[in-house]
Amino acid sequence: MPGFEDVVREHQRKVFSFAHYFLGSSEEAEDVVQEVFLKLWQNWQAIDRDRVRPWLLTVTRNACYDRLRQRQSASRVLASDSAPDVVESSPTPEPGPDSQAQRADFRRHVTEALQQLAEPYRSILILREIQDLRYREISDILDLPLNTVRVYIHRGRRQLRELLAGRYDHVSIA
Amino acid sequence: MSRSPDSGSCGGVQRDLERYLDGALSTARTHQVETHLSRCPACLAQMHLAREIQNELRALPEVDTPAATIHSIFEQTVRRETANRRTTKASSHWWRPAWIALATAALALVVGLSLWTRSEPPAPAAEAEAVAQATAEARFALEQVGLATHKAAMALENEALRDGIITPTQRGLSRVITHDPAGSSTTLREGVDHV
Repeated sequence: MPGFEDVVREHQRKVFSFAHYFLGSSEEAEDVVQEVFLKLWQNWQAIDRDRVRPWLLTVTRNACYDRLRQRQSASRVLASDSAPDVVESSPTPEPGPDSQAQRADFRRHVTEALQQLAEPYRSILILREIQDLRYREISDILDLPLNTVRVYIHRGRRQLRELLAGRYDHVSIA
Repeated sequence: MSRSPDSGSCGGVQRDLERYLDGALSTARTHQVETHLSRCPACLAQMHLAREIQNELRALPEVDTPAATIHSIFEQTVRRETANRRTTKASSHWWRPAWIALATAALALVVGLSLWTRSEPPAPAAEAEAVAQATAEARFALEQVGLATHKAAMALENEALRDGIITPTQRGLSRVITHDPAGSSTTLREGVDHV
């Protein structure tokens, strides 16, 4: 059975990446990682070793959400079906992300838009698209029905597109 | 915005683009969307954007926690506990010399009383009561010595087991605690009984 240090080493990347993309800040993500693994240490005897990863990601998501609520008003964060604000709408849309620099810009804009998504869309997109978790595990982590997770993934991606549409209206891909 | 009975409205198509890309639409709806996309450059651009976003999200790398943060976590958890255990172990040893000194003193008292009662001439009747009292006190002292020795031995054994100095095995490990006749130390010996 793996010890505490093995478990930390095994899961640190998932925890840190989630916090990093959720909060958009490496410094805050480091604080979250510490907080999460200290909680793991405090609950080490009680935790089912087969469910360590969903436990860690649930605690990580809650810690990130708490930090977000501290720095934003709750109404901005809570889930809403209304269309989100458009990211830095630009009068002249930029060309498609076909060069190296444009690709880097596009990546930055996507991650910025991700951090503007309301919950739970933000968490769902990170868990599914970046961290490649299965629907079942996402449903477990976020305590949402499986079908809701499926619907929210599409809705989250659509909202992301709507956030970026003003900037990338004329995107063309070879 | 365009609308045709065959392909649906731009709004409807754009709402379905992510599901279209995931192959989550019915065959009929997929056909409608594709027909619409072939005629509507604006929706086609949105479909390309949706695909680019999806590709970009999936290409975002997972990031390692900085090594200093991991180090800090271990310092606050596993290593701190190890350090605490060492401190506790060291502080828990203070009583051992005290018990040994007490046991030695009690033993000396008993031996002294015994020698004193043997060397004295037969006690007159008036001193019989005092002798009886001294004997009772000697017995009490002996019991205390036995108790103290037993406690020290048990504590030593428990500590050795806890720290992994010795481990109980399936092979019948025997632990022998011997007391140095000189009264200066108590030692723990272990051996394996072959069964």
